[in-house]
Amino acid sequence: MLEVGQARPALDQLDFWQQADLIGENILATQTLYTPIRKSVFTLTLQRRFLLIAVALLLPAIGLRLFTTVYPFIQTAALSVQSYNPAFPPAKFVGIGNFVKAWNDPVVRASLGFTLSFVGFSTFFQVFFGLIIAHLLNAQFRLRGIARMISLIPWAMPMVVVALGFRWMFDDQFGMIPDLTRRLFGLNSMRWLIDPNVAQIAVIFVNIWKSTPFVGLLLLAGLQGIPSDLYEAARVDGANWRSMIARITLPMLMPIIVTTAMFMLVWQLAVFDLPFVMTGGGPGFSTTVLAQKIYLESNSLNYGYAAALGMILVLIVLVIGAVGLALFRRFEVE
Amino acid sequence: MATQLYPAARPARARRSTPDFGVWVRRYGSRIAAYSGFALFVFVVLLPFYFIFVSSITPKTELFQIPPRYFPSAPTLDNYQRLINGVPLGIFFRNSLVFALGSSSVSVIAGGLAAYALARIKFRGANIVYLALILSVALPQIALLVPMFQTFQTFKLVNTYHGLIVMMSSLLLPFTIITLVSFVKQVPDEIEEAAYIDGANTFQIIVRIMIPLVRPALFTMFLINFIISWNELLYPLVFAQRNDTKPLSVALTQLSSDASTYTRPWDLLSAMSVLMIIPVLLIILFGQRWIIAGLARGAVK
Amino acid sequence: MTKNTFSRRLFLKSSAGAIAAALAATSGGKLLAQGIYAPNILRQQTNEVVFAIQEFAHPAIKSVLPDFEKQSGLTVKLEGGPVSGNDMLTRYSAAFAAGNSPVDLLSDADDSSPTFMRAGWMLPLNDVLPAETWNDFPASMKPHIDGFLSIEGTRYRIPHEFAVGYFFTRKDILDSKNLKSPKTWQEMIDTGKQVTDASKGIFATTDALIKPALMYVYVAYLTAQAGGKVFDFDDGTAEALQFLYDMIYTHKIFPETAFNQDYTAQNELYMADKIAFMREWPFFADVGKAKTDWFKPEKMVIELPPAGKAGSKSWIGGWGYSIPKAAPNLDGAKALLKYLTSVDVAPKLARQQGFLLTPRASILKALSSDSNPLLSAIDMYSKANVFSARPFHPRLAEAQTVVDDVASVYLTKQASLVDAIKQGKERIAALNS
Repeated sequence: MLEVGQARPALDQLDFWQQADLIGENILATQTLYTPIRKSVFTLTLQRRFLLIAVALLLPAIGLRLFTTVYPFIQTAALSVQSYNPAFPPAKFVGIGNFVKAWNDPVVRASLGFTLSFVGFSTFFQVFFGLIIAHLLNAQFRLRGIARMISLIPWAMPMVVVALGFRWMFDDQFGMIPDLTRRLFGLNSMRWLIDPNVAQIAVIFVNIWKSTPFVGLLLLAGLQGIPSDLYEAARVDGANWRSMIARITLPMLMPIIVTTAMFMLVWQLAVFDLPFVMTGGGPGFSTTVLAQKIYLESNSLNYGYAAALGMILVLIVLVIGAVGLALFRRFEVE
Repeated sequence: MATQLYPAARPARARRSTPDFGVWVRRYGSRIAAYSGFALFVFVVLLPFYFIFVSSITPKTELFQIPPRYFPSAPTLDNYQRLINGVPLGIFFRNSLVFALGSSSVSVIAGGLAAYALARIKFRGANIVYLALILSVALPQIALLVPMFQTFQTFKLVNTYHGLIVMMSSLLLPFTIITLVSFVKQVPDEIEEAAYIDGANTFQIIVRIMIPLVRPALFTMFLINFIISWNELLYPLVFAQRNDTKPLSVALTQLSSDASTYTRPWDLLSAMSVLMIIPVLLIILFGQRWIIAGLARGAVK
Repeated sequence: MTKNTFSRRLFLKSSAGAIAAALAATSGGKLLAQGIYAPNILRQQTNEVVFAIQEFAHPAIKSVLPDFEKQSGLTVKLEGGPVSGNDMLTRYSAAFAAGNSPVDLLSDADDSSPTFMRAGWMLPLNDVLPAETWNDFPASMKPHIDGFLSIEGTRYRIPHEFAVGYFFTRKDILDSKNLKSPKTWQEMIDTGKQVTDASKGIFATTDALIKPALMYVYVAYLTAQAGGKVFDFDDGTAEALQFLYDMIYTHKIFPETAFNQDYTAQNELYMADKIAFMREWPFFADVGKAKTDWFKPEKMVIELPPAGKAGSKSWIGGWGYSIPKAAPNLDGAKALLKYLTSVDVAPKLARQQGFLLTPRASILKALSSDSNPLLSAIDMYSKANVFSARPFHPRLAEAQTVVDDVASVYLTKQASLVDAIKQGKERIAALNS
């Protein structure tokens, strides 16, 4: 509140909220002259007014989210310390028993490696190719509309069809891919889905193929948000396209890249239908992801154990989320 | 001013917001490389879809050949015919449409409001809310099924459009909010300050200023959420139990032919997935202009 | 002054609007007791019966429904059902666990039904169906019914499908090379080597070895012939795995592409003349016949399976009908089940659809005049005592997964046979504890 005789600071030296405060207090000052009683009861400070607005704006989203996650979350956490299977009652409290079991479970161990490499490599290349696609689709050329449509097709197809389709396409006898590599490059059978290591590459490739358009679309929207005059100024200063990307595009896109990468990492941890339908977990365990194990345990009604495995995923997600948040705050562009 | 000293690199109307590939390419004469790169991109992207499309018009007995055929000798619409006769596609299509449109609308509206609040209003709980949103995505869907079913059953939401939309919007919200927050933060504060000083309130700011500026992001999120809902399988599989709410994605997994269990009929699957992708492509094609950044960039000045 | 009224009025407006939106979004579902679009929540109507069975069986079922609907006054809603045990579990577990059921009658698989039964979610059928129906089943199916479809004498499911791995042979190919169809494992190898031509991509035999479940099917089939108990991972199991390994790598009569192939691929290979003999489910008979420009009877001759140490064996299984306890219309479901499994109606269904064919006395009698190759195969197999019981484990789906995994790890050379068997034993022991 201003004191009598204090010079009012120039408005443009204050930031948005300080200005707002000032205006608000002026309003309040005017009000108090006429309604001294009302001030204490009805008039809220501008800060609290905005808090209420914020709460009102957040209410639908938070309400929806709470409704569908609070109870399941609590229930899952509770289940993870029990061994509960409706077909083999009763439920028993086992403390960390499920987690010890997971530690010793050969399938869990075998799938951890591939889960991490699946998620890691997929996300990395999805962002990499996504950036390229975003630039491609942002450039002015005549068939841009059609190109955008084409590039979204992989992501717009149902996962079951894609997984099954690629299973056929990689088949050594019936598939187009071995056939084409044989015709065009003279390569003999690469044992695409038979060799454990090659199968991993194939599955990761299909995942990249399928989800890159999604990342590209988001990065495209982000690219649209970069003012073109920045590039104009840089061009006038004689920059070539490489440094323009490094100095302008990447820094300005960083928040979106970090957000998207973080979400892709988290989301792909829980996804298993691609490897499951394509290879059933692969030769041996080579293309088994942890989420598949959770799915099969859940189907066998081992709700306690499945919940415990789910909590392990939560832990991994927490780590990723924390890292992502820190990066996001760092790269915030003003 | 700098622009008066140097001649324009190219005509003024060719304004682009990305580095000018064209100039670079021309300068180094590698246009062919660029175009062949583009051709490779189209090939890689489209080959699987080509396979699916061709499978859908191949007669069932000719589907799988050794070595594979790249085009059927006698293309036929028989697969589509059998699909339409065997399955009530119209009902499933309606269900999918209601489900996808509803989920994406609710998630974008609720998410957009929430994103504005989180991005612009500095209140004390903002970080907590943000973190909670991320954390809530942590548990895999399959692990949440049973308790969520119990919740929905209590509120009589099982097998209803309402229930499905509530569930799907909730699933889509975290990502929608966090992405829209990035986009809202891209918009400079000055515009809003100006509007606020001119006497606008929050509601007017959101509607008259933020939405037009963030419109490409809003539509992009709407499109993304629509596609995700359109193809979503696990939750509708469990919560849409009867034909009157079952969407196309679930019907896809219940296609059967050949009197055989444990196999999926590729002839019908490919036909159905071609049919399923058409609405999505139409939305993309006709919604093109909403993805393009508004000329409001200039409004900042 | 104007700023003042603006702020307050608009504050109220915007928060009211936001609160209304919040209420609409979150309470819309909570407060509205029923969806306008799905009145079936309050499906107290007792004149509707929901029956879920796989879509390819719908034409056959539809043909017998009008009579039922006339007799009982009920309307039957036929819906498509899941195509595998895993899908059944995913789709229905959450609902059953919450005491809810979307269907009144369903067709259920061997690898999902034991789980549902054990969790107490299915209705006992001993008293629902007349003794005449139960006794109509042949002795060869009794072990299966008692082991798989019952718990300690209480029956929860009644079979409608008789699935056994038949041994289909290309008599035309074998005859052209003056070969006889193999009768033992050794003959499979010897004959197989003469038929195999790697340069043309022709192999003696193949099977679908993809996970989940399909690898188990073939391993259990071979183990039955070797006289082992597949879930015990005993010597018979080891022998079967070794034999399969040898067929693929040592004698090279079995393509390794099978690791990622399902029944469709297996059938297509056979019909592309790349396979001389194979084990396959009964539905293949229809598939082959449907390929009219290829089909000739001598291309699909059913012979006895090659005998291992324990003789010529093939295990039987199959889908069956069962009623969830939480079915909204229990009486309607019981009525429909009685009708579909009655000695009058079952043959009508069996005639039209192999999925609904079991060697029940009534069915065999009614179809004896039809020249159904499957019936003569059933006859041949039962006379030679080929049918063996499907291996059982209380945690069936998980046990089958163990076999899948162990076999896959060994056969793709990622572990030795000794290690693989050891791992199998350990994991089964963990299941039993």
